[in-house]
Amino acid sequence: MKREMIEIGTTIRVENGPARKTAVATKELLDDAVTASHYKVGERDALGKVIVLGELMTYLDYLGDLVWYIYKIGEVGINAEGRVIFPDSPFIVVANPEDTVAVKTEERWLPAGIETTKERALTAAHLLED
Amino acid sequence: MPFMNDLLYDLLLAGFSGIATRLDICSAEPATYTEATSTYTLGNKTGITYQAPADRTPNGRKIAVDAISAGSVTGTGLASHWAITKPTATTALYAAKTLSASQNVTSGNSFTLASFDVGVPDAT
Repeated sequence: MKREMIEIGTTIRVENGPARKTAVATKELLDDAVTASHYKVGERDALGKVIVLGELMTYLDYLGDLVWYIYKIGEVGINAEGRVIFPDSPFIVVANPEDTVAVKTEERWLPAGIETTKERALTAAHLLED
Repeated sequence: MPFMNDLLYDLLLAGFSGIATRLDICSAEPATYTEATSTYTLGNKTGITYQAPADRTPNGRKIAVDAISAGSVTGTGLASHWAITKPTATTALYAAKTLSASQNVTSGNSFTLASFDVGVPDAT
């Protein structure tokens, strides 16, 4: 499927891409016929964690159907070290810094939903309009 | 498909190198252009350049992304992935992968990156 991005006004985007999945790393999962060839034991997963057999790993499913991500512009806090403090969301995959005190804010595109079809994503995206 | 002339791969790689001119370092592997350039970016370099296409090992064709000497670090954190995008008009994420070594970066500094390859294996 062709990659596509749809902008709704200036604050909402819908974009398709590979699904982000988490599973226990096994030889079967790491087979190049199942996951992309750069996911290997000892290499890093999609979150930058070293892949260890028997432990959870996160990967992008480049070989499966694309999904539709919905994004909305939002403010994130920045701590004293300059690290981004993301809002609590099941769609955000990186961990927040231990020091979660924001000293300033900045705008970022933040994941706001995932849908399996373009139509459902557009419907959900329009519901986010202010 | 048993055979495709190298010229076809080179046309693809030339098209890629002509428009994929922004590289971001990211705190996670981005699934989309938006994640690469905003949600998970820790820094970027625009106007990246490439070498001419060459043979790839064990097969196919590749182009080398020229080393980056002064990328702008815009966030603080552990950079684990790179992403190459088309930054203008119909924006798009074209390629992404893990960095050869994760690197802690600090906002306001600059980053460097050694040359690396982007390639296409032979058709099977």
